[in-house]
Amino acid sequence: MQVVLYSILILGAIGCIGAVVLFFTARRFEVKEDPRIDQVASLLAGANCGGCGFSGCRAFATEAVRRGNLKDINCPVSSADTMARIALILGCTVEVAQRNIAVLRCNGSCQARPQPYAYDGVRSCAVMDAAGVGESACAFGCLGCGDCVEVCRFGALSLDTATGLPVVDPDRCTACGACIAECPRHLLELRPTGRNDRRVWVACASRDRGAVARRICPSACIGCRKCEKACRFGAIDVADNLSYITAADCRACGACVSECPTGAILASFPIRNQSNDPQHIQ
Amino acid sequence: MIHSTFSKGGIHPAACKTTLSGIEALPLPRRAVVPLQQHIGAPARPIVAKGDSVRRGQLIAEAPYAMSAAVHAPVSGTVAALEDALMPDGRRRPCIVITADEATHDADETERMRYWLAIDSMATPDVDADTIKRRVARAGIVGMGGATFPSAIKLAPRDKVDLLIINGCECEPFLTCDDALMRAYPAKIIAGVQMMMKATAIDRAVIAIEDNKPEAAAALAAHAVSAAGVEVKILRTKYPQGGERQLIDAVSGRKVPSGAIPSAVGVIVHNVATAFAVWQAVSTDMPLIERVISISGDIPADQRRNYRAAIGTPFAEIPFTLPPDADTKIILGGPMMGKCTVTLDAPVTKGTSGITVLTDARRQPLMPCIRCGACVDACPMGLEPYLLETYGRLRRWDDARAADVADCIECGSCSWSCPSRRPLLDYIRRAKNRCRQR
Repeated sequence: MQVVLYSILILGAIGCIGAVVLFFTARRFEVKEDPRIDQVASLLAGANCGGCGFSGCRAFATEAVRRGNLKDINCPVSSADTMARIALILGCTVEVAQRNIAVLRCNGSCQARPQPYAYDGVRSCAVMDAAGVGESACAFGCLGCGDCVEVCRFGALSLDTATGLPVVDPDRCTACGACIAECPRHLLELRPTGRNDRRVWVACASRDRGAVARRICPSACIGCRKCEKACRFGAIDVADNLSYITAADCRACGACVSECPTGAILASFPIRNQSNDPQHIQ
Repeated sequence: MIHSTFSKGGIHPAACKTTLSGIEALPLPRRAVVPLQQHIGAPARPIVAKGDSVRRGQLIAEAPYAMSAAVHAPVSGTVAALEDALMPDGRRRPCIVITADEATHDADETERMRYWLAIDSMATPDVDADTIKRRVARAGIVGMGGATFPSAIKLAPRDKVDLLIINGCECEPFLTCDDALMRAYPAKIIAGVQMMMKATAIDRAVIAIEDNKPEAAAALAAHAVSAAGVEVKILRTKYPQGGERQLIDAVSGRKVPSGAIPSAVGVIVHNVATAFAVWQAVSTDMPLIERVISISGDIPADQRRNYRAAIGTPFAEIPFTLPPDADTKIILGGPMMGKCTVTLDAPVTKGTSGITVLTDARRQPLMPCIRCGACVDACPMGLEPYLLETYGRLRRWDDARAADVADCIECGSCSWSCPSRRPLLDYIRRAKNRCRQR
C-alpha cells in the first residue's frame, strides 16, 4: 500500500514541476500567429496546386492575411463565394477576378490527321517530343499521350479516345496552370472568359507555311487571314502563318469561327450558320 | 598488356563494326539541302538569295554571333530556295537549297576527284596560331564527333590548358567513320593535331584509340613518332569511352567537376575527324563541305561502307537497301545515342556520323524494377539511374535535381543494362529537360 502511495506522490510531484516548467516555457516562447491564417487556410481547397503563385494553400493564406486585402492575389481554384468569405475574414472587398479556363490550341484529332510515323517508346508527351516530331508529322500539335491529364488535380482533363486529344471540362477547370507548365509544346492556354463563360480560340499552333500545314493536318491554321478580316474588333492577328485571338479584345461574337476554311477556330458555344460538323463545338 | 580505361561504370555492347574498309566517294547531290544550323548555338545568317549562283566551297551563310558556325556551298549551282526543310526528327528547319546543273556538277566532281587524289602529296604550311584560328572559323568547322560545338571557340580557351586529347575512340557500336579516316589519312590527322596544339599553345597531345582498332592506332603511331609532343594512347574498349569526361579520366586520370567544362582541369578534347578538317582548312583552304559517314547495320554486307558525302546530300541518295521488315529503324548515328530518323529526305549535316539500320528493334514489353543495381554499375557518371527514372516518372523534379540528374550524359548505358528493359534514359531525359527549363 505504502509503495503505491509513494509512487503516486512522487509521480504527482514530478508532474506538477513539469507542468509549471512547461507553462512558463510556453509563455516565454509563444509564437503569436494571426488566427485568421487558420480560418483562411481552412476555406482554401488544400490541394497546394500553386496556381496562386505561392508554394501552397497555407502560404497563400499567410500572405493574404499579411497584406490584409486580396488586391493582386487570387486563388484561381476557389469559387467567387469562397473568395468573398475570405474577404469577409480579412475585412476587405473582393474584386471579381476574370475567370480563366484552359483551352487546347490543337484540333488535329487522330481521325483527321495522318499518322505517318510509328512510335514505340514511353507514352509520355515530353519523352515523345524529345525523340522527334511524334506520330503525326506536325511538329507543333498535340502528341496525345496525356501528360496534361496526369498532372490535373481537379479531374478537369480527360483524353478523348476517339480524337486522341485532351478535353477540358470547363466546370472543373480551376485555371491552376499545372497543365500549361506540363505540355512540352505549350498547347494549353489559359483564356479569360467573356459573357456567359464564352471563349473563342484558334485551336492550332502550327507555324508551318499554309501549304505544308494543310498537307500535314486538314484542320490546321494556314494563316489565310480570313479571320483577321472578319473580326470587327481587331482582336485577331496573323503572324508566322498562325492566327491568334487576343482575349482582351475578343467579344466572342463567333464571326471568325464560321469564316475559317479549315475549322481551326473553336468556340465554346454554338455558332449559327456554321457549316462544320458539331465536333467543332465543345 | 592491359590498357587503361575510365574508372566508373561502362558497358560492353557488341561492337558490330563490320563495314568494308576504305572510304568511297558518294556522288555529289544534284539538289543539296544545307541547314543553317548544323551546330550548337545560333543558326548561321544566309548571305545569298534565291536565284544566286554559287560555287562549291563558297560561303553561303556567315556566323556573326558569339557562338555559331559558317556554312558553305557543298555543290556549285543555283540557290533554288531558302526554305524550311525536313530534318531527321521530322521537324522543319531553315535551309538553303542548291540545285546543280549538268555542267557544274561534272566540273565539281572532277575538281573533287583531283583534290582527293592529290591530298597525300599536299604540303602542310607553317602558319601562326592566329591564322589557324581564323581559318578554322572561316571554314565553319564544328566538333565532328556528334556534339557539333564550333571548333574555333574551343581553340581559344579562357582557362589555362596543358593537354589536348584527340578522341579516336569511336565507342558507338556499328560506326567506323573515324576508324576509316584514321587509317586513310594518319599523317594529315597528326598535322591537324599539331595545328591545334599551336593554336592553343599546348605542347602535349594524346590521341586516344580503343584497342579494337589496332590498324588505326598503328598507322597514327607510325606518324606520331616524328611529331614532337604527340603520342598515341591505346585504351581498353569500353562504352562510353568517347564521352568527354570519360575520355579525360581514361587518358589523364583528371576528373572534370560537375557542371564544369574540360578546360577547368586543363584539358581540351577534339575529335579525330575535327583534326583532319582543321588540317584541310588550314593547308588547303577547304571549308567543311564533306565528311565521312558510316552506313551499317542490318543491310547486305557489301553495302556496309564508309562514304565521303557532301553536306546536304539527302540520305535517300546513299546506296543501301532497307530490309522489308516493318519494325526496321533507321538510326542516325550509332544505336546507343543515335536517334531514329523518320525520313530519308533529310540531309547529311556536319554532325552526321552515319546511319545504322536495325531490324527487330521494336521495344520489348517492360517489367518492374527488381532493384538489381545493374544500371548503377553501368552508369559512367556514378549516378543512380533507377532512382532518377522513378523521379522522372513521378514528376519529382526537385528530387531529380538533388540527385544530380543534370550530370547525366545520356549515354544509354542504364537502359542497355536493365534486365527488366525499363526505359530508364527516357524518363531521366524528361527530368533533365524539365530541370534545365526551370
